[in-house]
Amino acid sequence: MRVFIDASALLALADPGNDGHHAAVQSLRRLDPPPALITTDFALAQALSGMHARHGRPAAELLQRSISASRALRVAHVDPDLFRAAWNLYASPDCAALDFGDCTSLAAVRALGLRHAMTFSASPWVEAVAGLRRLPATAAGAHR
Amino acid sequence: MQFITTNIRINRSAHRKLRYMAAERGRSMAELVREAVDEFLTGGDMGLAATEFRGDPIFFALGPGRPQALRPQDKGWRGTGPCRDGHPRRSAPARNSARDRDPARAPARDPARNSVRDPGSGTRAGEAAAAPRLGGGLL
Repeated sequence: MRVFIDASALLALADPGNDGHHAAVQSLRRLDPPPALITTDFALAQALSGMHARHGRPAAELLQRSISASRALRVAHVDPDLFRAAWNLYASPDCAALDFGDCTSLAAVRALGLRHAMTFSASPWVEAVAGLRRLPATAAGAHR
Repeated sequence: MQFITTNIRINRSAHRKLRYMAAERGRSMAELVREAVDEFLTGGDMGLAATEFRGDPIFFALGPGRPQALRPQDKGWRGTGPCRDGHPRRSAPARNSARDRDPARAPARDPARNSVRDPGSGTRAGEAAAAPRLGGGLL
């Protein structure tokens, strides 16, 4: 099983002070067999900025180091094709409620054919993909 | 994203399995193959053991943090209310404990009923204070 991890989920996983930390860690640890976690460099950039804003540069550096050392999480790069697909989504009226970061996540999930995404964002980007399941199922509220 | 169309050659048994799986899931065979290829190219399941996964640095970037308090739906939750028989739980704080410790509020005790050295030798209900007794203890 592969799970897409967006910026809000990265922050929740990495930061014990985040409101979603417990739910994020528990919902992934319950999965058997252990899932492969996938994020994008765009989501990572958002998470690093969020960590920097909340806890400062050392925390952002720790996050980057932990992601580099992680064997569970893989960072997919947004190439020009994916960027264009994300931009087309952003420009479409169907995605008027989404920001561009959400649209890159949406494009990546579609391109990789993923069925599960972890997010703590209040944005309805997960619901924009038919058949995509939100983890944790009861995530509520934005924690970005 | 640009796509190309190509042919793949697979053995008859794999084709049969794939066809059954696709029918079972209500999807096309091509979708299943594309998904498998994507999974292969992105590393798929990393093959991490559960213990490796749980100890992955991504969960502890800023440290383990404080242990989360147990919630009613968690294993090990015992609650804080009284036991089923109505007694307070041993771990529950005493009710009005400061008030109970106040000597001014302690009820007056009858010295005749207050025997420490000879347990059981106090006056029984309905018995005269000077009633003859055969002996102390729990007879």
